Amino acid sequence: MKRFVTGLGRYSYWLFIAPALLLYLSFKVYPFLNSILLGFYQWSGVPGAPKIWVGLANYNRILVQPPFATMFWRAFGHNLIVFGLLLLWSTGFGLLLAWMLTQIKRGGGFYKIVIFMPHTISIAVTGFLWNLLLNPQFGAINFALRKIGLDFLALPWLGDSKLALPTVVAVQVWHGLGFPVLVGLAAMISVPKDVLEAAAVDGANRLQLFWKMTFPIILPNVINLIALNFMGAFGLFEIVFVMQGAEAGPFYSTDLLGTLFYRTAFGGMGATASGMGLGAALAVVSFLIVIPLSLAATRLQRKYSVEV
Amino acid sequence: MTLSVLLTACGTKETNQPTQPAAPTAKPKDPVTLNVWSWRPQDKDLWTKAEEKLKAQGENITIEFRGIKSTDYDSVLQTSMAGGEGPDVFTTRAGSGTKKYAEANQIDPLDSLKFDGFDKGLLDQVAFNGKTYAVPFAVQTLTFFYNQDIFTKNSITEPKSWDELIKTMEALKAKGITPLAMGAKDAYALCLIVDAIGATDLGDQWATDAIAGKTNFADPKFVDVLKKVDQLKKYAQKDFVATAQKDARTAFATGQTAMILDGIWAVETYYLKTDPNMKLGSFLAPANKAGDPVRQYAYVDGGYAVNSKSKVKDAAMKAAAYTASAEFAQAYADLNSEIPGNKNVKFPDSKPMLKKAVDEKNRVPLRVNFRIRSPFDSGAPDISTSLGANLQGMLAGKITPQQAAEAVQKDLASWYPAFKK
Amino acid sequence: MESIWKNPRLKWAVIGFHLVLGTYALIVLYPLLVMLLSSIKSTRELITNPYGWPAHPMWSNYVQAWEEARFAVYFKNSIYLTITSTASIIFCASMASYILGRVKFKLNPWVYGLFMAGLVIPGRLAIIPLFLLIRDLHLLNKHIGLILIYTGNAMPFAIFLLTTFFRQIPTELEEAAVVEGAGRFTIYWRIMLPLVRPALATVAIFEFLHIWNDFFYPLVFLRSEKLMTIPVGLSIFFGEYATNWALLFAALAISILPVVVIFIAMSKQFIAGLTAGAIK
Repeated sequence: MKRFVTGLGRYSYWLFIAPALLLYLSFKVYPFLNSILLGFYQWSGVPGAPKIWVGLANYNRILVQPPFATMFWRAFGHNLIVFGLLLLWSTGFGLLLAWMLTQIKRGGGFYKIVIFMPHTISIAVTGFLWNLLLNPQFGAINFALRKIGLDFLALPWLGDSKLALPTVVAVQVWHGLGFPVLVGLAAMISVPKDVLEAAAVDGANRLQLFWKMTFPIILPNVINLIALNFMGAFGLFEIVFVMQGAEAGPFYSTDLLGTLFYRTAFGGMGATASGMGLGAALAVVSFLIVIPLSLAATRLQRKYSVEV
Repeated sequence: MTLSVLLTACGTKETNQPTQPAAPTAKPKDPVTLNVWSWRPQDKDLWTKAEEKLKAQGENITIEFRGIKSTDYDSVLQTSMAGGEGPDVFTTRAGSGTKKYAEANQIDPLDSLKFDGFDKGLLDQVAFNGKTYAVPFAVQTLTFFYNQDIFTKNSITEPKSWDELIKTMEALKAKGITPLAMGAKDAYALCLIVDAIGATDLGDQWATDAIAGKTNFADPKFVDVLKKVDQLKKYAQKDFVATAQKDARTAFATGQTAMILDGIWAVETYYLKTDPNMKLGSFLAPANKAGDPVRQYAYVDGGYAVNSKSKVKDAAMKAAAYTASAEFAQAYADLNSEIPGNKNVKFPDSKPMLKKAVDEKNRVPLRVNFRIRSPFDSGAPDISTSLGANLQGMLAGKITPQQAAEAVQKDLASWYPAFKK
Repeated sequence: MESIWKNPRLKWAVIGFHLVLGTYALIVLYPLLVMLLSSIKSTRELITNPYGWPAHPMWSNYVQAWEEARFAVYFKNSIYLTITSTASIIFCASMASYILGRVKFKLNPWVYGLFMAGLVIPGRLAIIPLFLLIRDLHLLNKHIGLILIYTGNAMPFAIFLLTTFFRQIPTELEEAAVVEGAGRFTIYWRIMLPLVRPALATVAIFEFLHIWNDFFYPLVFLRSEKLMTIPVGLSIFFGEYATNWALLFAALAISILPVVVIFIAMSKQFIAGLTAGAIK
């Protein structure tokens, strides 16, 4: 990285950053900071309703007092589980597919398009579609499983509190796998071919080539993907909302910080209660949990940047 | 008028033009656009008709109807109102859904309107501090529906006691027919079952006591209701825990199950849409002893409220007045096959389920709500979320009915004033 | 697509790869096929014959879906809104990422960190202050309001992605350009951007899709029918109690078309970028 003395002036780089920074600060940061303040009030969210200052009472309610604290920590645990699953199924499986794509001669274009296709439909429609497919009686999945004699696998996917969360995550991965595959592919392809070919001539096999040569170079991108998985895991909301409702059932087994927030701030199915103050506090807590870890991720990423 | 002109002429600059009094609302004969929002997109035609009627009455009102899916309705509505850009007339859920807007002075009291077709009980559900704040547009009722053909073929009659109901289900099961369709994946559907059984078993006095804090949800009577729900699980379809209510409805409508517990709104929109020739029957949750009173859980779904910040208040009030009319109610009933708020409505013989529901509502309603649209709905965690989730745990065998009831009580006691002891 | 290996000895491995990729392809294609088949069935047939071939294909569903979802108007709006927003995102983010990835200045890590923090800000929480801001800027019920919001919101993700790719470009190219007297903008436009084409294409595709399918912001910030976008139009098929699946799927099939076009266009960019990289 060099410092430019020529050009538009020493501080011209601020002009480059300005549009992005301005729009980001105005339309994302400012509204967020504004709503953080809500966390210190008890407020239903209805305009004109009284805002009562309660200081840290909301935070206490979320972190320590049952029943909220129970729901909070349970949801938090679920978010961690989702992260683990995403690591395996999204980054792990995605990179595997990307690597395979670099190893085959034909069909790459076709596979790329197909892997990416689910992303073209919105997550909401994806959720509806898979709801239909996973129906225990009429759904295609169980229907197919029964047809090939695997009856014992025809389980109530979205109705069993042990299966529901992994199932929902699997659907999310189905929707978004195109991303790690494309990113991984872009990264793997930018590895200079001559380096790889030289190593191959020296007798390295496919796997060695990947781990010893390709992987170190794409490591920053991998860390990126992992970091995004982490943030994705903690921000996951839409797919659960669509498939399991704001109540995140069955029996809270798919409850995440996102659904807990929505239920608290805007009310769940059939309920009319809304607590924006409490919801805001919840969002802030979620934010504070995720921030240090994502900063650590970006630090790691910079550390492992290899200049080619 | 002249006095004010003189005063203003003297008090301010000398002008030849008489000052006009400020007009906060548009005069009724000027063309006015009224924004109406609802969580029921299917009511679009209803409001087109309303616009025609209002125009025929000489009101120059154009109605812009916006139907927003119920899952997004609240967040969009609250956001718009926070910015002062809310609609002029909008639907609010009965009970605390209306109360919260009334409390915050976001909607106007509607006592000036004529409510002669409305029972006081209905108006109470949309009232705050003794004033009515919305025009109830629908009353929803819950009941057991059954497939008449299946019953007749198997020589089954409507059960007169709970034990008879269980015996009936046993008999059906023995013949290989799934007795009951349960959509346990949707927690709200399970809550409906509790509502229906609780209406008969618990009654108004229990509900009043619970609201006052004299009894609570850990009470053996409530536990018994949950025990009955638990009993039903062996008569539900396979993998009912993963069945959504809409799939349960499909199973019932295609004759795969004999019975289902549902609301009156499902008859036209689901069952008869799937199978127009289906012969339906219904019965309320039977009492423990044959001959004991049965009751129907009937609740006001929602009402039309007037935004206190509306810039076309006059037109909004006229529209609200129209929704209180028998004409509007009739149109609502005809379009949706649901029970409107105004009782001066005729139901055709071609809609027997509707007629029966109305009759039961008039004869044996539960007057005090204890679950949906009750005071227990208004805090967090609310009763619907808590009860629904715990029912799912109970039906999966993870907790007993006793534990489920206690969990609900614990959740409510964390915020409900009368339970905090 | 060129593979890195030309060694025929390793054919078995390649067959294995095809097996894995192919199986996954089936898992993707099957639900989408079901969706397409469902789009030409009647509502009753969806219940009686959910997975089979339609008995009497109802192509009229497409016409009906087009009219009911008001595609004529909404399509135009969606295209305009999405393309403009995506272009704006690419422009703003690439400029910022170029600097953040290659120029050393004291506040660099702090600015970058500030953008990264945005990745964890939850979506629907700040809707009310955002609404008030848009209202005060008189941008309610205007497409430009949404464009600005989408751009601001997309910065964390786009910058996150692009910065890494910018960082990986060797410095020799920049140094050569400086020697020839190129200014910063010229370097950015002529040298840097073309080298990160795959990344730009990736960001473009994902942002395009996200905005194309976004339902919540148009719902909140737009009022007039004539400004609405396709997802809002699709919501008409989700009734309070029953969903009109056949029409919904037909409408979806129609709305996916432009997405496919953009994807193919971006794929070309993607590949063009790869060959450029090889010439490096």
